[in-house]
Amino acid sequence: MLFNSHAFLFGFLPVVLLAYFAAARRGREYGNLVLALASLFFYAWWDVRYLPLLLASIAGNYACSLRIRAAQGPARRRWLVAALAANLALLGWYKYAGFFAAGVAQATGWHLPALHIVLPIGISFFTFTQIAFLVDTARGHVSESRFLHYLLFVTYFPHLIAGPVLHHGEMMPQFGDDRNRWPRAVNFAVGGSVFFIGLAKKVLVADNLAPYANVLFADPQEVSLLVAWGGVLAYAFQLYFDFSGYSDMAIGLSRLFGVQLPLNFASPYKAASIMEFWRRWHMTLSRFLRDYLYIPLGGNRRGPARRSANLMATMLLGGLWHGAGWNYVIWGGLHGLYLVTGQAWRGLAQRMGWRGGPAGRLAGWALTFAAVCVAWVFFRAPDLDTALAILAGMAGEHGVQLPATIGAHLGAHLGGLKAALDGLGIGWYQGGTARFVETWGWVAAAAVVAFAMPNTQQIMHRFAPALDAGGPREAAVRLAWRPARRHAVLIGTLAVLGVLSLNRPTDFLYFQF
Amino acid sequence: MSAHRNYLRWMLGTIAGASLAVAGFVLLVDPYGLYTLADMPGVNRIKPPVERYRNEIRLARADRLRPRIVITGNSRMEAGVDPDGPQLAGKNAFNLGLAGTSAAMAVGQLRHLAAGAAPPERVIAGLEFVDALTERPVHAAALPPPLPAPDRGWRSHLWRADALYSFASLKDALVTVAIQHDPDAATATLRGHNPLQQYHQAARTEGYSALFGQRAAENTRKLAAAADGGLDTPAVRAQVAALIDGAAAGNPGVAVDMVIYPYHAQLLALFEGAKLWPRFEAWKALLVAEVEAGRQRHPHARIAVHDFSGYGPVQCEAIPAPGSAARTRWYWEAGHFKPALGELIVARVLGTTDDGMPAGFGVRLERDTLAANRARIAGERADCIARQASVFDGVTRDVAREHARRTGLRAMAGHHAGIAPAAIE
Repeated sequence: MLFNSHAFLFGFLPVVLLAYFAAARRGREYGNLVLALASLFFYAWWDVRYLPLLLASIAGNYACSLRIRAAQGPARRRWLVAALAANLALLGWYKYAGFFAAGVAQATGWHLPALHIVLPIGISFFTFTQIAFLVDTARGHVSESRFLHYLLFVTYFPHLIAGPVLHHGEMMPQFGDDRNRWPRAVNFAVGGSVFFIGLAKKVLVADNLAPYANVLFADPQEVSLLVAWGGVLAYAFQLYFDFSGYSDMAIGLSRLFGVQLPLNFASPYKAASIMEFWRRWHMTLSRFLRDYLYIPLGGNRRGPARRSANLMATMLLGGLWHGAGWNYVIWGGLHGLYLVTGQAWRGLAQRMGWRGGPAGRLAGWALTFAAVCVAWVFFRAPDLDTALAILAGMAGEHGVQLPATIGAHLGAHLGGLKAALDGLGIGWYQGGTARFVETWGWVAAAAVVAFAMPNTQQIMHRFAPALDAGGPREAAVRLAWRPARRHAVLIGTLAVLGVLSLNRPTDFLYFQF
Repeated sequence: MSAHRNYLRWMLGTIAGASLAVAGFVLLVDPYGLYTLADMPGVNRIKPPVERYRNEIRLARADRLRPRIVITGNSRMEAGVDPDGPQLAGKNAFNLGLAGTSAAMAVGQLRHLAAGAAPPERVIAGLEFVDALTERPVHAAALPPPLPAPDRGWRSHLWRADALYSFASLKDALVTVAIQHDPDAATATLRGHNPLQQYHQAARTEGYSALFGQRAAENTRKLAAAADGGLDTPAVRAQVAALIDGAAAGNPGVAVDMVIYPYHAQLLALFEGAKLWPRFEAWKALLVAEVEAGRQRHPHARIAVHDFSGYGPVQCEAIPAPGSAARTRWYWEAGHFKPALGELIVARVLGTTDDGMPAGFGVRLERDTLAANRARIAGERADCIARQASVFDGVTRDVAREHARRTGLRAMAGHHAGIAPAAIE
């Protein structure tokens, strides 16, 4: 079920809210039971055949966590290793078996039968969530382990399909909080507002950018510089607003039940370094990879060379987590290289005492954004040839061209400018004027929102929409939300525009991961 | 009352109020011509082309107008035949032609009308040869693909809610108001004709040469891909039979006129260059055979095939030179003809006299006239080459270039085969 669908918004959600608060009135755990059952129904709506898989994964991991908790010394470690192996085997089979078989066939020339395994939606998210739980259990960090709370922690529908990746320590206590037994106006006002902002990001921005990205990645043959960059930027902003919108919607929905989810986005395209980018983009995945992969590998505690190797390994695996394909590996590898280079540059700048200042920060931002966009090409392209064709266009290999209609208008009204462009070697191509203008129009609009506007957490900071949201420095932000009539009308209008766009529900990009 | 409760009231009130305002505005402006509550010149009289629920909206309008003459086909018919034009005005004609659709869509439309209270007396159906082409040879005995079943039940009516309350409907309503005074805006009549008004602007700024050239490039690429393929005989047979049966289902005495489009000489030359000509002739013979079979099944119906293809003076219309501001009379580009030519087609089909009708334009095809028709086209071709040699030369160049490109791609695919065959294929 999609958050941006009539069935969810006008069917599932109102029914679950009514049922939850009616049950919670009788007792906290009744409400949790309703919420867990509703989450399972939410998952089964996509494909009921995979519900047993989810339940088996939860039951198996819960049982393992009890054994790990009960065991001591080497036995505890053995149980942990066995449980982790089972999780990784499950993930490996559904996500990577086909990729592995194809790789073996290609490398050896064997004619292996193709594996057509359907990826159970959300499997990466619920597997990672449980791996963290098992590791923390073995470390002795788990303080509460009621099955119902565990079931809800894993299946909780606002996050189940596409994150954020939850941590038990911040979620399970909330499921036991008695304050959430009754509907509260503040939760509905804050949660509803965050949800509608997220819905607008998804349906008003991301979905309108999608066609301009799709058309480039479908046929990038001999594409010229501005057309290539237009399509790639359209994708960069589509992905940003799609995922950011989903994260906001998840946070908003959860808040309706009084439960705060962790932040997953903090304006990543405003980052002035690649390290900062990864502290702002898909924050909960970055946190998971840091805590359960990078640091166990040794992190930065064993010297610069080992740190670089750890960064590369973490990012390569992070890339592979997004999908079983070489393009994802390249994407992860590129980000690994970016991070290694970024760390080296930071060390060098510190040794030289160079602080950069505003110009340095601007240059850092431009370089970071351009590098991220280049990497997105591999992330989105269906194959390596397509990615390389687009990169060739972005590098200007096929020149700089503009639609001939624009040239005709310039010639008629701004002849000097037309002549100057001709002199610069800019070419003119027939047709495609509307697409060119619309692409760059949408890209410009999205850029204004992404670069110049405060993000949802900054807007809502006074009311703690999510865990870790905002701080004192956010206090003076423009557009700061408060429960005033003006804001109600604004959000209500945004909600109508979002609801009006529900007629073409589209998947969230992160559903496939 | 707490501030948050007050906030929620205002937010929900805004949602309800704005929703009502949107639905009311769309209802009044009526961009799809569904409600006809108010016909206001300068506000909503001129309608934009329908982009969503095209078929549903067409059929809803047809249900209301109960047309006697129905035109079906793809964009060539949609843009080329005006039910309000001189030949059809006052005859209650309706154009159901839809861009990008095949005969299967027309079958569904005719079945829908046959199930209604007033099935049409005459059907003028445009048939598309290009749709019958496949990229790989097809065995003649292969099973025809099943035609889409009509969507019934409550879900088939959901589009009406969406057409009233959605962002796209609001946008179309706003566009409707905006285009009232724009002579070059894209529009469509309530009887389904899309006159491609927006092409006027494109023709003025880029010239007809660019319009022909751009479409020729697309056609060359598309048709070259079918060069080594076949003719989907089972599908053609099934669709033509279903078309006849659908038209006769509601009216046994129906007249069915099947139209082979008057492709411009440039496109016909491209058929030749892409080695499609034998299939073009085989396709015509198939139509004739299926029509004969249809006559057997529906003895009261009057079924005919009209061939408007060829290289006559109309189809061999000169393409203005690059940079020329000259206008064409009959064609927007090689695939799409103007309503002026649509008038000639309709006149020929209806058997009405038209002083401007060139000799030999539109031939009624029967089994025993196929050979003579081939000879006619061959004769016209010689004259056309003499008059418009550049058209044929241009096509030859385009085909050779496309052939070289495809050969290069195949070679590249072979080169990469060891690395990533799946990606290339």
